[in-house]
Amino acid sequence: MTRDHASPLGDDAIVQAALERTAAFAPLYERHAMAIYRYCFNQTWDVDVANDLTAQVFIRAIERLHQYRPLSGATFRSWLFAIARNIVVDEWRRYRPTRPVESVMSGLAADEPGPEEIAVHRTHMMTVHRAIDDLPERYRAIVHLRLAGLTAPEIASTLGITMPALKSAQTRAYRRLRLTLE
Amino acid sequence: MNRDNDRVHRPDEPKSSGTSSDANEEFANAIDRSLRASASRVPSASALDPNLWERILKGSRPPKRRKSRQAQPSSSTTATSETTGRGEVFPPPISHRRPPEPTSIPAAKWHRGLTAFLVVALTICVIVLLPERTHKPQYGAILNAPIIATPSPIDTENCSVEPLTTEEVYDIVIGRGRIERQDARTLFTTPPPVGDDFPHTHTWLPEANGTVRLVDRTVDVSQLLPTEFQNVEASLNRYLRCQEEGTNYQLWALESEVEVQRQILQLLVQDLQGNEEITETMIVDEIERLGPLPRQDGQYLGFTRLDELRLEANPSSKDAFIFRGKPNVTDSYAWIGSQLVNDETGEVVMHRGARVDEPMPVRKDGSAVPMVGVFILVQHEPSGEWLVEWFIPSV
Repeated sequence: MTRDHASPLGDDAIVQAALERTAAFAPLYERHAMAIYRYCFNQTWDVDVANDLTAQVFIRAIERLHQYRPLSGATFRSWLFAIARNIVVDEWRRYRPTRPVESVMSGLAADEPGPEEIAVHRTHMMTVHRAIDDLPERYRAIVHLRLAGLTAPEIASTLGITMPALKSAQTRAYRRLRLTLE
Repeated sequence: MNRDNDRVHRPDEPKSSGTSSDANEEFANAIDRSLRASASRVPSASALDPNLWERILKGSRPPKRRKSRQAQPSSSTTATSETTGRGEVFPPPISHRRPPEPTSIPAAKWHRGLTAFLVVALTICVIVLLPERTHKPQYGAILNAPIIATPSPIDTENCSVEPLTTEEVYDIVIGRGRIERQDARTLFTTPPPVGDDFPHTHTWLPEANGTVRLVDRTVDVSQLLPTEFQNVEASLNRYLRCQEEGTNYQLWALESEVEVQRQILQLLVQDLQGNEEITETMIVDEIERLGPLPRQDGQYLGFTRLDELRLEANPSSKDAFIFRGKPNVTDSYAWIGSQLVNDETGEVVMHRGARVDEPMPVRKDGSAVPMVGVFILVQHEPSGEWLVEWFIPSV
C-alpha cells in the first residue's frame, strides 16, 4: 500500500478518521489523486474531463466511505479504482467524442532524440492507444488498470472477478493486443 | 505479475524462446512500460487541477456513519431509522426511503435538479402504487413481471444497446410494471434458480410430442413463423454480443424483468441479517455497483468466451419452438438453441437445438461445453421485443 510523506498512517487508518471528519480524507486524496487523474486521462485524453471525473471519483468515495470494507485481496486503492472505473464507464462513455489522440500525441515533448525518432515514437504510441481502444471493454479495463499500477489482486477486486478469470481475461487481452500490433 | 522486469520487449521483437504465456506476460510488461514512459512526456497527463481538492470538499456530503455505529438519519431518507430491542439500528423499510441522489459536480447542477425531481416523483408513485406494507421483503411477490423498459439502438461500436438508467432498473426491481398492470403473465411460477444448479429447469424444454412440462402444467409449443424466428434469433445474437462487450446496464435492457430482479435481489437477500429489510437505498447501491461492470464470467447468464469461439443463436428455425400466449393473459415464450462458431474460419464447432432429447454437445476431445445450451426468451408487450429470461445449460 502506498504511503506518502504527509501522513505516516496507512489508508485504512485514514479512512477511519475521514469517517468522522471529511477534511481528514486529504492524505488519501494526496496519495491517490494523480493516479486516478491519469487513469481518467488515459481514457479520455481531455484534461478538463479527466479533472471532472477525478473530482467525481473522490466525491463519491467520500460519500460512500462507510461502505468501504478492507476485505482480503482488496485495498482502498482497488476500491477507489472500482469507483473510478464505474464513473468513467457510466459517465464518460455516454459523451465520448472522437478521441483526439493524435493531437495529444503531437504534444509530446520534443526535447529528446531527433525528430525522426520522435516521429517514430509518436506513431508507435498512437498505434498502441488505438489498439487498446479497439479492445472489448473488459479487456480494455484490465490494460488501463495495469497501466495505473494496480496489482493483479487489486485489479481482480476492482473488476469484481476471480483471479483465474482475471488471468484468463488478461491473457486474451494482451494476445489480442499483440495480434493487432504485430 | 512481474512489473520489475527491466528488459524492454518491443511488440515488433521476435517472440522469446519461453512459453507463449511468458511471452504474453513479457509483451504486457513492455506495453505497460512504454505507455507509462509516454505519459511522462505528455504534460497534460499530469495536469491535475491544483484546486480540485477544494472543489471536492465543496461538492461532497459528509460520509455516512457505518451501520454498527449509532446511526444518524441520513439526508436521503424520508423516515427515521428504527432501533431494535438489541440496540441495533436498521434502516427504514423500502417503502419509506428514496434512493440517494447521485453525486455531481457543479457543472452538472441541472442534472441534479432533474434527478431530484424524478426521485420525488418516483417516491410518490411508490407510495401510491405499492400494495399494503408488510414487514417482510417484497421481492417474493414481484418476481414475475415483464420488463417495462424498451431499449433503443444507439451508435456504439460493439454492443449497440442503450443502457438502462439506474432509475429504470430500480423500477424493474420493485416490479412497477406488474403493479401497474395488476397481472402476472409468466409461465414459470417457480422462483428463479440461484447459483449454478438448475436441475428442475431441464423439464422446461420442448419434448418430441410438442409439449413443455412445467411445474404446474403442460403447454403446447410449435415451430416459429419465419419472421418470429428472425426476431428471436436477432434478439439472442444481440444479447450474446453484448455479453462480450457490454455492461450490466446494457444487458439488463435485453433481459426480462424476472432475470433482472433475480440478479439484483439474490445478493441482497443473502446479506440480510435478522429482521433486516431490503431498502431502496440497498437496491440502488447494488444497481450502481453492478450496472457499469461487465457481466462476470461463470455466473448464471454470464458466458465465457472460449478464445476464438463465439456463442451465437442456432440459426436452424426447425430446432426452435414457441408458446404463443394470449394478449393480456399469458406472455409468449420462445426456446432456441445455440452454437459455438470459430470467429476466423466460420466453422460451427458444436451446436444444439432446443429439444430436451438432444444429445449433449461435446468438443472433439469429448469434453462438454455447458454454455452451448438453450435460451428461453419472453416477448415483451407491447413492444414485441424478445428478452432473455432463462438459460438452460447442457449438463
